[in-house]
Amino acid sequence: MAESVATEGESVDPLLAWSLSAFHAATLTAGPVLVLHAIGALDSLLQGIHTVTGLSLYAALWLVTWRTNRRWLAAADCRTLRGTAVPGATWGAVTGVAFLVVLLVVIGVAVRELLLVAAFALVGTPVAALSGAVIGAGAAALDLLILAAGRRLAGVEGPVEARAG
Amino acid sequence: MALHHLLVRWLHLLAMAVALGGTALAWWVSRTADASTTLAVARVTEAAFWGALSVLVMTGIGNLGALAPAIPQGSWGAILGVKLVLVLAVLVGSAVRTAAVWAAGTRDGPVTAPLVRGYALTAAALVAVVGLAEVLAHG
Repeated sequence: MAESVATEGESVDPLLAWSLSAFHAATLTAGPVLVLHAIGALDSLLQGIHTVTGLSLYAALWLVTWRTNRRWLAAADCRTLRGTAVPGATWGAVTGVAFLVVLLVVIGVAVRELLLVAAFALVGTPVAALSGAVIGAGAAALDLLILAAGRRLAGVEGPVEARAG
Repeated sequence: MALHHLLVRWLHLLAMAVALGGTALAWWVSRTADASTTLAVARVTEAAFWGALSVLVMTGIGNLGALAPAIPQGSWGAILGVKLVLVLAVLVGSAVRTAAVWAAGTRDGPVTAPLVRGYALTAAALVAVVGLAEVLAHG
């Protein structure tokens, strides 16, 4: 029997939403850090970010990802790659733009130049939306594999059935 | 050392204690308790584990930031690279383990044997991460 990620009223298993959002935020951070360390560019990046700013940005990414993951899981049809990846791209784009807003607030507080922040917003919004969509679709595809592997381990037959949003 | 750097290190240690302690507890419960108790404990453990792992990643990068712009290279840098690869492996493996806990809760007569292996593997990997952290801190 196929199981549903979303239950009546489009609510999502809170454990799944919480764990997947934490997984996404942590992987999206640790992965690039590993790459930057491998090419010797980690020093210059971390030097420019104050500890409190870095922690706040991570917390913001985690919170935004948690909110958008819940919406994505409610909308995803995990029986097909398309049904998972398309909502993943949509909510990934939302995540990207929402995180850009957080970044713009941080930049605005740091430089106090409204025109500069507006220019960043103008250029950054499509870039954030596009990169968010690509990452969101990729993360959705990875999550589909993870859910399938988890179900196999638990001895549950059949594909995951998610309620269409 | 600045107070916020000290706080970040303390949070890092606390998060590892929660992640490793919770994993060890879930492993022991999954070996000794019935299926419904195992699943109930596993769900609580998973929620705490992911919170702790997020804090670990966040504060781990904060600890690296405290070293910048003089993050050592050479053998120290290589060990850091190995630690980061292991952390990524723990992240992916734990996501699969959590998916198994979620899936086990959707069926009658849940299978808990995979959870015993999953928690044992996670605990072993976290001990290895702690070992590498010890080498990075004290040589």
